[in-house]
Amino acid sequence: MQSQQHLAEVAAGDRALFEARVHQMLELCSAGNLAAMMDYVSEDIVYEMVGNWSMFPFSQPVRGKEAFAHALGFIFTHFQSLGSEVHDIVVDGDRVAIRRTTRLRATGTNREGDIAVVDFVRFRDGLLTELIELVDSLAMARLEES
Amino acid sequence: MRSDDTLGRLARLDREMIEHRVRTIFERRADGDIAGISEYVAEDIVYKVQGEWTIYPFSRPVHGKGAFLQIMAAINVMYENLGSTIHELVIDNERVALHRTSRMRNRGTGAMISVDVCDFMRFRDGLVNEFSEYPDSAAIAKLDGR
Repeated sequence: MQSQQHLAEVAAGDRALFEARVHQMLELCSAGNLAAMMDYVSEDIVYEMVGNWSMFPFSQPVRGKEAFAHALGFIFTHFQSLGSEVHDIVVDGDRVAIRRTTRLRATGTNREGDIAVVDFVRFRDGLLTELIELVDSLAMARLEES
Repeated sequence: MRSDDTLGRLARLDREMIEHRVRTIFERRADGDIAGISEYVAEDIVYKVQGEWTIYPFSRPVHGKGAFLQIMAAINVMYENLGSTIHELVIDNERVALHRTSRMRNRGTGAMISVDVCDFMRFRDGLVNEFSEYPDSAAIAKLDGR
């Protein structure tokens, strides 16, 4: 049986890894580097946008790394991330909640805005296995208004 | 000095207490029990609704228990909360993040819709002293007939 101290050390290590992963992935997102992002994604990832996502063609969960890459590629075509400010990272075992503000530019209208985003993610063996995302959908819709 | 075992048990108790309080707050919100919610709120609470909040009558942070309870009452005047399902609950010591779906009815129009909301809370001495809400703003706009 592992001691409480050892378990605490493992938890602290996981927390540092998760926080580093979150920041790395957001930086790669802002760089538009989809290929490098996929290095941190597990083969069986589940991606779900919750909320009023009538503006995107996937309102159901996206399953698998390849489908996830396609979904992100679609988003990158329509929106450019100009950087994220992370306000909070909450870690509970393998589950992580992030709240951030991301500066986005709609490529169709060239409009820019700060969008509030919340992500619930789950890691396994250091790789992303689940991503549930809620964005300020009305603010996103206004970026796309012509 | 307390043993690792004792500290571990104390941490579990704190976690159970926080989870119980979070669930109770949202149950009382659905009951419109503002006085009941006030039992779990610190005098210096800061409450913020994040994102595109042209739809609510307050777009700035609310400071203090009195103002917070007034806002809860004002929301209750505008919308009937028919209950929340909590999908994700992440507890990291005194910090909490959750994703819920709340069934809401606009009392003015009678329109009813399920709204995804993420909440971030911070507890101090068992009371909530920070509370940030991230609602699906397009869903709220739809509920308001906009």
